[in-house]
Amino acid sequence: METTTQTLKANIRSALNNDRLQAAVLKATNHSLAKRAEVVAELPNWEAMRSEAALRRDRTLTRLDDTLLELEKNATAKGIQVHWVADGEEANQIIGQICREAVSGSETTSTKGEVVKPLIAKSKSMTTEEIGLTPFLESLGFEVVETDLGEYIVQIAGQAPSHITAPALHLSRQDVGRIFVEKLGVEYREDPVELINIARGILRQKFLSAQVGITGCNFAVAETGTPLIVENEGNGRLVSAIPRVQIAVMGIEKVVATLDDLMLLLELLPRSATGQRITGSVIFFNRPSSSRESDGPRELHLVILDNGRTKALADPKLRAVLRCIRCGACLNACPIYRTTGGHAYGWTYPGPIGAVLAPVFLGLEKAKDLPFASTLCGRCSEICPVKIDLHHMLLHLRQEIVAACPQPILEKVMWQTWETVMDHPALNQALAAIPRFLLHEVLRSHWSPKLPLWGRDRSSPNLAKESFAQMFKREFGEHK
Amino acid sequence: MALLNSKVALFIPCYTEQFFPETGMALVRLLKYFSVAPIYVSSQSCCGQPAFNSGQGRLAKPLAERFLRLFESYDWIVAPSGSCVSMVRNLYGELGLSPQALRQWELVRDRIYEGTQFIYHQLGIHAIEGRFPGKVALHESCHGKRELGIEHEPRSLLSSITDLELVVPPDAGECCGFGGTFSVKFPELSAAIGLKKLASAISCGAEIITAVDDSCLMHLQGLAQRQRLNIRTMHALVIMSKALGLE
Repeated sequence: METTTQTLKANIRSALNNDRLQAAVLKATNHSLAKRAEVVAELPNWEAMRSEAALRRDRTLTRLDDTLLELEKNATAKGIQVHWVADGEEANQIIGQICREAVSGSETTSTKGEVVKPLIAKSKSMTTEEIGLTPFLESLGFEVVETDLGEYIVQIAGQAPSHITAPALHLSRQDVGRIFVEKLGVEYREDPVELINIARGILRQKFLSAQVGITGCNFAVAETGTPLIVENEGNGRLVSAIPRVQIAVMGIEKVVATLDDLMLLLELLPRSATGQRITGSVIFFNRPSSSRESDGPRELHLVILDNGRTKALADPKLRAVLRCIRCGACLNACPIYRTTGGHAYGWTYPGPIGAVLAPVFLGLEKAKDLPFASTLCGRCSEICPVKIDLHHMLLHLRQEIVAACPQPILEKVMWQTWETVMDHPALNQALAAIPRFLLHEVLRSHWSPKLPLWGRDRSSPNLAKESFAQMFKREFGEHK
Repeated sequence: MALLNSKVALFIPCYTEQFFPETGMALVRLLKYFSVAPIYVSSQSCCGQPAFNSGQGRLAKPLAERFLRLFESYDWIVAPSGSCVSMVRNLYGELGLSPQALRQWELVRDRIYEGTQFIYHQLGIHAIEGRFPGKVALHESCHGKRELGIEHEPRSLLSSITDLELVVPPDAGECCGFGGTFSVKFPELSAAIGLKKLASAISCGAEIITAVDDSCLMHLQGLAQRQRLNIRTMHALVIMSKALGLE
């Protein structure tokens, strides 16, 4: 995926013209922030927990290779099949192969003689969004159904998730009602419970007939060889209990060294993400099931993905971004995200974390505008449960992008001229000698109110009649 | 007062110099009122932040080195902006400064202060015994709040003024949407964020919105003016100086 200047600006404009979207995003993010504040306030040592979590994440990152190998060793010993993949394409190929093998020999026609596509049930996973897994599996002839309610809604609407933890955050319940009418052919309803029941009725059948279950992985504990997910709807439980084959997909940074590290992160993640003390379930994929057990997958695969993450690992200025536990709090707090929603970013991961990850994962050239689409206000760094200095990373990426990507000539000349003037007091003073009063009047009467120098919505500031230097000299005479 | 014999220099940000000289003058008058005679080094220019924030760290570096040369010999440096102070204090280390400039930075970074913090902490002034009638909404500028830890200083100073009713809107600590060159690269988005901020201040009944940074206020004023909103902007130092009748 690539975000260009044109698409970014067009996306922003379309979000700004969509009052319904803006209202839904503001309402949902405010709700999440308020709930978060409530449960964070219960913990007097929240700040110490953040520092401790940052420290432990960093400790694991400095020996990530060993920790991952320990995970592999312990998982393999229990019968989990571990696959290392360098990028999205490799991940998709391997997952596609596992799925093909899982369904080979099973019925592909219904009683009426129609070809029935083999079914894959998915629980929510941003990593699989990142690698475009669903469209790939569909191209192989599978039916892939998202079972998280929010994911299901955006899937049938033909959209992408707009938030890391709340995929349909940009939609109001009225929007969801309309999508259900159009895509599912049901009567219009807007009561959340009724809407959930409609989706539940459809999804229940899917769970029962799915041959492969695909989940993400919130963490994977190296010392026990255990991937796990946190969830609230029970769909992740079903996806990992019913199908005969389960595949869990994780980025390399999701590994944690010990159960002790995990316990700390499980305090931070739900509080930051959904304002919960703990999620409805925490599901450990400890091993494949044996023939004596009635549920659980017989085959359990763990796909460990790099896809650009080692580039961050190799960069001391950006390494800490791999601490991220994908809570989405930085999205909720970001003035940009709160105004535009997630789709404007044009990439899987929106918000401040996305604007840092995009240039790292996709390359500077392909995401060269995202780090500039920020006011650097610092709310993201302030709220991050693992203390990633996101806004300073954006600032760092701006330097890298200007150094590596061709800049518009006009911009280059403008900055160089500005620097020359600012670095030469004589030049500065010569410019100040231009009759300011005249300039002030001309600008005031003819230019600034009319010219869209600063956009159509905002008047430009007017040059003062006297500069500070002139005023100071007139009033106090003394100068140095 | 221990500061009587120390050398206090003014740092006037580039946009304050050109667009809001009254803010600089308010700082000078307040310092003089509190018995500090600030020195104005007229060969100063910009701290380099606009360039650095735009990815032009290469161009910010000579300006930073120039800044450090000019100010290293002063006991204190005071600026009417949290953002510029944060640039000097927190970000100069990212510019790849020369070893000499780095040594100067070690001295200067602890001596540079935003105006209200200087008045509150270094001068020990916690109340302004003056009068300024009006309902004033506080905007907590991002860099001041999150990078310098400014919180109670402007609140205490402003709310101590007779007849001034200070209101802190629920979104006081949220960004105004200015963001330096962000406001030029993404003007509609910048404006949309700023308008939310203004609407919130207006709904609190404020006639004035104040902050410790003219950069935020320049943006909010431009919006209020173009959209004909019933609210004005005024730097916290200007309010304090007016309250004391220092004009």
